[in-house]
Amino acid sequence: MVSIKKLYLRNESWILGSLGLVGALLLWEIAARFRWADPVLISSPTGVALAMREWASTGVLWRDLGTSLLELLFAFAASAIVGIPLGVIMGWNRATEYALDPFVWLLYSTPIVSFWPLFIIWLGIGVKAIIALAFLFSIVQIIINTMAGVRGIDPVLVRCGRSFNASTWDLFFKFTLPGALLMIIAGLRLALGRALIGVIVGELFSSNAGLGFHISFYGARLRFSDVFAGLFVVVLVGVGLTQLIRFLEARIVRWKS
Amino acid sequence: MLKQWQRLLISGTAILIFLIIWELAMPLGLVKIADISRPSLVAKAFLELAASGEVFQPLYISLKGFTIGFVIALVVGIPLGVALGRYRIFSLLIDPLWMALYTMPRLAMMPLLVVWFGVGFGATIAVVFLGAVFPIVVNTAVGIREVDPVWVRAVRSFGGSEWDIFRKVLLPGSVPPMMIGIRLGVGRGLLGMVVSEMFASTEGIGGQIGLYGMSFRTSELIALIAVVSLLGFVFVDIMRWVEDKVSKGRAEVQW
Amino acid sequence: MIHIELNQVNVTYPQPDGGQFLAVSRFELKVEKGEFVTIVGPSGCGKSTILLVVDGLIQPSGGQVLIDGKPVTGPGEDRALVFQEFALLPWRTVESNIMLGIELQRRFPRSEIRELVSRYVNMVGLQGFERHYPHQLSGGMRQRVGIARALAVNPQILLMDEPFASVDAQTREIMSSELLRIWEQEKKTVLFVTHSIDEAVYLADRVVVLSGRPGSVKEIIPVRLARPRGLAIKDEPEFVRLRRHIWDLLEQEVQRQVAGRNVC
Repeated sequence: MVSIKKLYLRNESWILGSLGLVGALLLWEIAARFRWADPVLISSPTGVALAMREWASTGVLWRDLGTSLLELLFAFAASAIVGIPLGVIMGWNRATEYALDPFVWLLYSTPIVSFWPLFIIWLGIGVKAIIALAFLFSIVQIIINTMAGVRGIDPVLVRCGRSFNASTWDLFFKFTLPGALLMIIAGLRLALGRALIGVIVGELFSSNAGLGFHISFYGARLRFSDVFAGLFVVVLVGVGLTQLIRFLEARIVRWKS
Repeated sequence: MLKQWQRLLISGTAILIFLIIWELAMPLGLVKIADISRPSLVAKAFLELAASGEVFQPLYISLKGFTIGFVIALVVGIPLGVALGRYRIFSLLIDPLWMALYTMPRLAMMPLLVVWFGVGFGATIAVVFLGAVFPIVVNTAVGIREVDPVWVRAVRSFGGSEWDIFRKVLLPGSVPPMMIGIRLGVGRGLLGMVVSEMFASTEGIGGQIGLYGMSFRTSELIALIAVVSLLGFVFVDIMRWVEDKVSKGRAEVQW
Repeated sequence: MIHIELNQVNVTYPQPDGGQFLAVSRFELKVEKGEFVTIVGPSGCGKSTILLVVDGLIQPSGGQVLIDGKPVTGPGEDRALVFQEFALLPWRTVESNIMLGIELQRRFPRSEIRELVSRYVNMVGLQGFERHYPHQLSGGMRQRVGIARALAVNPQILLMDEPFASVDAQTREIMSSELLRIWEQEKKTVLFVTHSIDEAVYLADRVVVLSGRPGSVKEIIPVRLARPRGLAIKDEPEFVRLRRHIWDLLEQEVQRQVAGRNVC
């Protein structure tokens, strides 16, 4: 019938996408049931679901989630508070950019994880080191994006501002900043994801609570259902937070489009 | 706008000032809470490590792991990217799966990977692969999708087969985005290499970092971190140079 | 003798929402060997579609397309297409682009290829630019590469899809007269699509005027001007009369478009 075909074509991406996802889950379940690989090693969707339920019902899930989110909040907020002004100054003032650029470059091309032992030495094993790591993970992204946003402002607009005799203050707050806002927010979105990874990795290495801890704890005991459950929650948090910021971005884009 | 040499001057001066402050920080008691070492000690530590073979040997091992993982990522990633770019239905099916895998932080998967692929080398190769393969696939797919359909039509009009279209239009046409993907893959692969070694190995440069970290040897630690940093720097530079070479002659197309 | 024949050809395109769009309807045309036929009509309206169907890149949904009496099933060595957007591969040099068709058709002995390419480079006047890349050339030069590429495979039919549309007005004039010069040498059958009436009359033995969507033949007008034709012929009374006539025909179509009735 023509109408079914039309319905399909209009929603094709949803339909096929869901099909793919369901198919993969099915395949996974079958692989576990039919022992194509050792179920201990690969777990199964049902196994993971059960592990999730247990994790949630004992309340430990909320403790872990809360711990990680708290660490994330501190690290991300700090990196935004430090990073955005820094990026703005670097984008606005060439001399500052040239001065600080080598350091930003250094941080950008170094795997941030390699700083971890340094943080342990300086801040001791615990929450402070984790927050420091996540802070570093995310601030580089923020600085780079903010810088690009401030620099990329349409010179015609700046000229327009100048011709209306705008002061430097006005130029900045009424012209440059709004224009750069989009890039800054995109930078925040990316940085949030990176901060999350920083938190998880830090917890993986050393902690006694949090999502990363959960993963490493059960990983060491070969309880992969619980490990997958942990990964699933991490993905959910990451996607959820990213969507939040995308929503913000969309509201702002309305004037830009 | 400032000239090139002025730019270098400012950067150089900033770095110099930083090093001087760092060198004098501890003796002057500016920092009391922790051992942050100083450039001179770090340099000394580096020389000692290099002499005793604790820099270049592990580096060599690390790079072996990286290379294998990265090559596998290329071999698997490029065809996959081509398929995703070429066949729309396939791409729609795989998309959410792909996104789910992408958002899963591979660093968090370390415990899993260690068990599946073995401590040390195996896990490192796996993490490098997982890190590099995503940007390679995604960017290759985008490159293929953005190939101007008029080129495909031109080849068809001269009687070219599907294979001709692939070889003469799709592949060469998607090279610039592919190169971007490969460059990004290198960065993420290196990161994976270091993490895996720090987490699950005593070999390689990451293993060294872990070792010296655990023994609180700050100077050696910073020296090693500097080595890794330099590595990342060099690799990215090499990739940019390759990208440049490849885009000569293509300036017309905006990518 | 009849080279190309289109009988009651319909062409439809599938729409993203499942519907069908009729681009060409009941198209009838017979082209003799060695004839230069131009097709002119309001923007869009299936002009390019007709070329694609003759080239075998699209299948008609109704009617027949015959070359030398045999139905067209796909692209072939007897036809070559010149594109409005040039369609040059930006990573290939001028030489290498001209070679593309030859490469794909694989029927030219290697020893001859160098010489072939060189001949056509000279024919379109691009000597000295063999090693250049498309981005280093002007629009007019790029199209010459496109023409050389098509000619290099020695087709019997040359299909040209608004080839000079992306070229500036003055270059356009020069290139159309160049085209005639080349055509006199090679004597191919040419189907040339354009929306410039001037160009259509100047180049053609016959002009096919299309109606609006769906595209079909409104009128076929013979052009009985002597050859070879210099650009000065555009001031002659017969030329002016033909141009006026075609414009009158098209004006009706354009008015219908503007009135929103047959928007292409």
